[in-house]
Amino acid sequence: MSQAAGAIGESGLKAASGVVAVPFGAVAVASGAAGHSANASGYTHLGAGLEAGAASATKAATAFVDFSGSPLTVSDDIIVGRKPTHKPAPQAAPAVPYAPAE
Amino acid sequence: MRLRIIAAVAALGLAACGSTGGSNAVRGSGFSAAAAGSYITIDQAVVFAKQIERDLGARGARLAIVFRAGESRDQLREGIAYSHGAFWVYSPITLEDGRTATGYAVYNLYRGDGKTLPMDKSYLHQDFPIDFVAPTGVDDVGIIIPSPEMQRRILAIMDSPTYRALHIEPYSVVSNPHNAKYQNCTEFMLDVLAAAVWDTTDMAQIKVNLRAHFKPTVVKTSGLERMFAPMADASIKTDDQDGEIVTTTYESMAAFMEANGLTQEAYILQRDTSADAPKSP
Repeated sequence: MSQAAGAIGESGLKAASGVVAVPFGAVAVASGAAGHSANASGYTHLGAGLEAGAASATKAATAFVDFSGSPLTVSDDIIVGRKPTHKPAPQAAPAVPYAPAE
Repeated sequence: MRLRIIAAVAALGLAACGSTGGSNAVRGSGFSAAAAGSYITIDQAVVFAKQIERDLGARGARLAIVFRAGESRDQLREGIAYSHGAFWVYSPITLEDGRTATGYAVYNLYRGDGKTLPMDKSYLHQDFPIDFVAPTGVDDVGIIIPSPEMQRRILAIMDSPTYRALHIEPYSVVSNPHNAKYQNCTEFMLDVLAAAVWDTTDMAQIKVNLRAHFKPTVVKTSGLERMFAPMADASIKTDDQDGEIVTTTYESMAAFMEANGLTQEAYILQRDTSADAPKSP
């Protein structure tokens, strides 16, 4: 739980933890920009930014993104993130084949 | 002498870019200090965060550049109104209960907290408006909404490896945007913006372009401050500066973007205090 979530919890307000599904893939597609593409899940990792895992990612990634300036809906939810970690977790022990695969 | 050094550090401590904890997590340096002893209460922070989100939503902003002051204004240098800035991106957000909310996710460059990461290093991190707003030391934020085409270009960069590649880990509170030795939160956003403007991922080219076209904010300091501040605080570096200290601010970014037709609008949003509980005498 993030520090924000803790503080909000103490205040009596209800907070929800959220995972972001930014439709970047749609941005690239809609713009025709070359060289930019979302991965299969619809997420890309931006530094420690985007957090993968939401089921709605693919749907979001295929949504049409317009830049018309039309008003955008904002939910009432108080959304808090996860406490960040800077230190990368160790990966699994080395498991590299001795010789290249045939 | 010690008092002078402390004064020098305080004077230069104007663009802390936040961190997410640590001993310096006071006001401008992350959320952890916001729950107790901060300028606004957590209830007020929630309302303010939603106010900003709704303001951006009403203007149709898919992406905005938002700035906050993590300390009271009298602690900031003349001509510098804010100490942290980040990209706010309109996003669907999947909640723990499976619902999808819509609102803004915030993409920051944070300074190290001195514990898990040295204070002269930085990292990229996404959080949410409440995290951004809670440490505020004033009742306003600065907002730049890029033009629709610039929003599209910046989002396309954020979708590419370029975004991460533009991050320079060595950090200085007053990093000089005209070179790539250090970076702070505002310079990082400027570099992303420049990559979008000139359609280049080459940092050397970006810096040449910025030297030619971007006028940074001059931080008014004395020779004493420039000499001793780096000795007293690891996050203050001045060896990337030529003479006077210059850095990137809301003011200089807004001026650059407005002068070059890159904005939809730039404005100051005042916190709505009408719902605040009466202050006790």
